[in-house]
Amino acid sequence: MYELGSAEWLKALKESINSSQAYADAARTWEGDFYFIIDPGGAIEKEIVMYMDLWHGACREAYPVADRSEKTPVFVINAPESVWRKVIGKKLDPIQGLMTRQLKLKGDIVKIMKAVKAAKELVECTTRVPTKFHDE
Amino acid sequence: MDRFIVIHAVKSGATQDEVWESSHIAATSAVRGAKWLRSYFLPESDELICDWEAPDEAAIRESLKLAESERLIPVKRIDLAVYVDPEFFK
Repeated sequence: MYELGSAEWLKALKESINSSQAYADAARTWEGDFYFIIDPGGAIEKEIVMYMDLWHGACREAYPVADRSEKTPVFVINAPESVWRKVIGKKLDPIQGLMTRQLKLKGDIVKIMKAVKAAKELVECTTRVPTKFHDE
Repeated sequence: MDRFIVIHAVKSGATQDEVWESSHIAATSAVRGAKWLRSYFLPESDELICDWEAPDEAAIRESLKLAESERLIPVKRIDLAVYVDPEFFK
């Protein structure tokens, strides 16, 4: 089990993405990097910032950063761990989460909405990573 | 009350807050008996298909004007529609 947002978890997710033909097909035209951020709260004292560079159906980089100032990604999505847990557990559709602001987004929401298949496959990839949550 | 299908073009460049604010107004402040029922976004064609209940097309246009949705999702077409449900055939 890897702790959500840790270097090991992100390495496993990168491998999961890069071994997924379904993701490669769904995201073949996608260009844009992300910060996925777990907000502080509960067992999480300081926000956890995950950087992911997703490019043409592959994950080029995935690692945690100590501070948001390290990169300037095109998209920043943040939410409490409880919401990320719903997304990873497929209890919350990520696009619906963005539309309803359960997941907070900085960036062009329409570009992400258009990538609905890629978003679904990305969630599929996270389900294949054995994940330990901070509140467990 | 009649049913209408509204087809919007969806433009890039909108922020999450802009989309939410406009959607919130359409969901809570529609006028003259108009009611937004549901929508489907079609990523392949950049269109938003919306199902409305309203006394006439003008009530929908008035509601959308209040929501200031024209900049984000300009209306391509509004059609009077007939609602059909699988339940009718069971």
